Amino acid sequence: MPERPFIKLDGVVNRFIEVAKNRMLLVCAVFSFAFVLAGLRLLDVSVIGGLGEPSVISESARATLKTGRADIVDRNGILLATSLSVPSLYADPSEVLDAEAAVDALKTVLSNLDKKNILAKLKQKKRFVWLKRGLTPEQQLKINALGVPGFHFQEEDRRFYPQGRLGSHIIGFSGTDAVGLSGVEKQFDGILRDGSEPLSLSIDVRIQHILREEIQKQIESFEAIGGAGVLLDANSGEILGMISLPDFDPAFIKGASSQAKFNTATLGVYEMGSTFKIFNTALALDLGSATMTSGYDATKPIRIARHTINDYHPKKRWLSVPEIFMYSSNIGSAKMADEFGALAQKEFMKKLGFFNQLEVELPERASPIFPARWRRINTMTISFGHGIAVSPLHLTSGVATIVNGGIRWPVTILNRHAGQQAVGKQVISSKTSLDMRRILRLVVENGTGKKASANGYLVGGKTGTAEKQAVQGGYAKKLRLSSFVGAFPIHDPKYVVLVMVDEPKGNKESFGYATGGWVAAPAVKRIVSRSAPLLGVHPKNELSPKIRQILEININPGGGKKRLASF
Amino acid sequence: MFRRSIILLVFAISIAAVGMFSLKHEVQSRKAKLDALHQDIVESQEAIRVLRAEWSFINQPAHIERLARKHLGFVPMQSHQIVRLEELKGKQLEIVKGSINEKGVR
Repeated sequence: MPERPFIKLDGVVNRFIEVAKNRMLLVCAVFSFAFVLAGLRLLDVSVIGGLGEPSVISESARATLKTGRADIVDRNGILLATSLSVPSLYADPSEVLDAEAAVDALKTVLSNLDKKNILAKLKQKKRFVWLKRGLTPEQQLKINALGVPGFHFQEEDRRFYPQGRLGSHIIGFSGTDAVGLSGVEKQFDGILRDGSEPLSLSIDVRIQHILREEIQKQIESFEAIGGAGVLLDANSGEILGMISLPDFDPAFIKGASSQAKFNTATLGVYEMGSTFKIFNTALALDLGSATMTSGYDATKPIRIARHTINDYHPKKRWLSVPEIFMYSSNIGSAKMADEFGALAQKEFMKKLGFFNQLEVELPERASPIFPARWRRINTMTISFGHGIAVSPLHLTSGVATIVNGGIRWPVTILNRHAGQQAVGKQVISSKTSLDMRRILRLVVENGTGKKASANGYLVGGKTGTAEKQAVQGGYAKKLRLSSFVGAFPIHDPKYVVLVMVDEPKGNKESFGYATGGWVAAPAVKRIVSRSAPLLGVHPKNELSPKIRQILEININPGGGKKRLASF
Repeated sequence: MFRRSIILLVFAISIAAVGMFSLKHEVQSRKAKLDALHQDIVESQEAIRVLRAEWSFINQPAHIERLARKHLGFVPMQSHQIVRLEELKGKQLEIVKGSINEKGVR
C-alpha cells in the first residue's frame, strides 16, 4: 500500500492550510459585508429613499422667451413699445463666389438696394458684413430661395412702437442696437434691458389721442407753428397725457426734423404771461397781504425804470382782487406783488419748483430762466408772467398745487400703483386754495375764459397771452404764446389741464383775435368734455345750490371804488 | 443547482439590459419631444408678442374713432347723456315708457 502523502505532512504544512483557510474566510466576510452594504443602499435608494425623489420632473423655466428689452405699456396695459425679433441679412464675402451676380439676384427681392454700396461691401476682406437689417418674413423667404452662397440670416431684436405718434415724445425711441436714445427709453435704459416685466407709464393713450387731436385742430385753424398739452392728476402728480406738436413717428425717426423731436412740454421754457397771475394772487392771499375783498388802483399805467406796465383791457378804476384776476389786470397784479415784495415772491417761486430743473423721469428736462438780480421791476413783471421762463409742465404742476388744497406732488410719468403714494409738501393753505378755485371759476363764468366752459364739468382756469421775445431783443407784438390752464371739476379738482399754442394768427371766426381765450380755451372745453367720461368724472348741474355755495364769490365788494388795503 | 442559478442570473442580466436600453431610449425620445415642445412654446410666445403688437396697432384711438364714425355712426358722448344710477330713483316709469330706440341712441 503506497503511503498517502498527507500522512506524511508535518505540522508546518498543516499550519499553512489553516492560515489560508482563515484568510479566505476573512476575504469572504469583507466581500459579503460590502455586498450587504450595497444591497442595503440599493434598498434605501429604490424603496425607502424613493419617496424623497420627485415622481414627476417639472420643466418650465427654460421655455420663456428672452427678449433684449422689456415692453413699455400705458396705465391700462396698452402696448406702447415692444421688441420683436426680425431677420437681418448678412454676408461672408469670402464665401461669395460672384459678387456681381449675387447683388443682381438680391436686387430682384430688394428693389431699392444701393448696388454700388453692396458691391463694395461684398468685395471687402472681412468675414462679416451687414447687407440689410430688419427684413420682412416674406423677403427672408425669397432671399433664401435665391440660394446665393455666403448669404446668411440672423435674428435680431427690433423695437416697435404700435401707437405711432401717440406719446412719441414721452416714450422716446431706441437705436438699431436697442440702446435707448430719448424719452423713457433712455431714462430707464438699464431697467428695460434687464427686466422682463413691462414698464407701466402713467399716460393713457386715449387721453393722448384727445389732447393731440384737439390741439392739432387749433394749430391748423390758427396757423400756429406748434403747441403743447398736458393733463395731470391734481392729487397724485401723475401725467395722464402730455403731447408736444409737431410730433414724430418713431418708426421713421430719420425723417423727423429736430423741431418735431423737441418735447415742448418738458424741454421748452417760455414766459407764460397771465397764467402766472394764479401764483401771484395765491401768494398775496396766502400771505394775507391781500384778501378777497381788497382793492387796488388800476386807473393809470405804472411807470417804473423806463418801462410802462399797462392793461390790455383797461378798466381805469379801482379793481378788487377777484376783478384783477378776472380782467387779467397787469397793473393790479404788479401792485399786489409790489406789496409783498421780491423776497416773498422768490421764496414762493422756489417752493413751487420754478427755480429747479423739472423732476419728471425723462432725460428732456428744462431748467427755468429767472433773473439773477431780482429788482423791483422784476417782481412787478413776474407778477403777470414776464421775466421768468418755465416749461409748460412746470406751470401745470404749479397750478395743480394751487388748486388741490395747496399740496405739491412731484410730477411723474410712471404709473403710481395703489398704496405707492408719494410725499407731498404743503405750499399754501387749503383756505387760499379754495379762494383760488373760486376766482378761477369766475374767469370761466364771467371773464376771459368763457370758451373753456365744458357744460357739467365745472372748468375753472386762467387764460394767458404772452408776447414772445423777438430774436433781435424786446417783445414781438405779433408773435404770441396763447395758453389756458385750468382744473376740473373746480369745486373739487381732480385734473389739471394745460393747452398752449405757439404763434397763433387770428382768423375770421375769432375776429382776428389770437389770445388764450380764443385759441386755447375752446380746445380745453373739447378736451374736458371728451376726457371726463373716460376719467370717471361725473357731470354735475353747475347751477345746483350745493355747488353755487362752494364757489360763491363777491366780485366787487364796496363797488370797487374804495381802497380796502393799504398800498 | 449551480448551473440553474447561473442561467437564472444570465436571464436576469439580459432582462435588466433590455429594460435599461428601452428606458434610455424612452427618455431620449421624451427629451426630444420636450425640446420640440419648448421650441413650440418659444415660437408661440414670439407669435403672441407679434399679435399683441398688432392688437395695439389696430387699437390706436384714431383708428377706432374712424371706424366707429364710419360703421356705427357714433359721436363723442355729451355730458347730458350721462346719468348716475342714484339720479334715476323715482324716474323708473319714464324709462320704461321711452324705449331705447325712441331715445338718443342711433
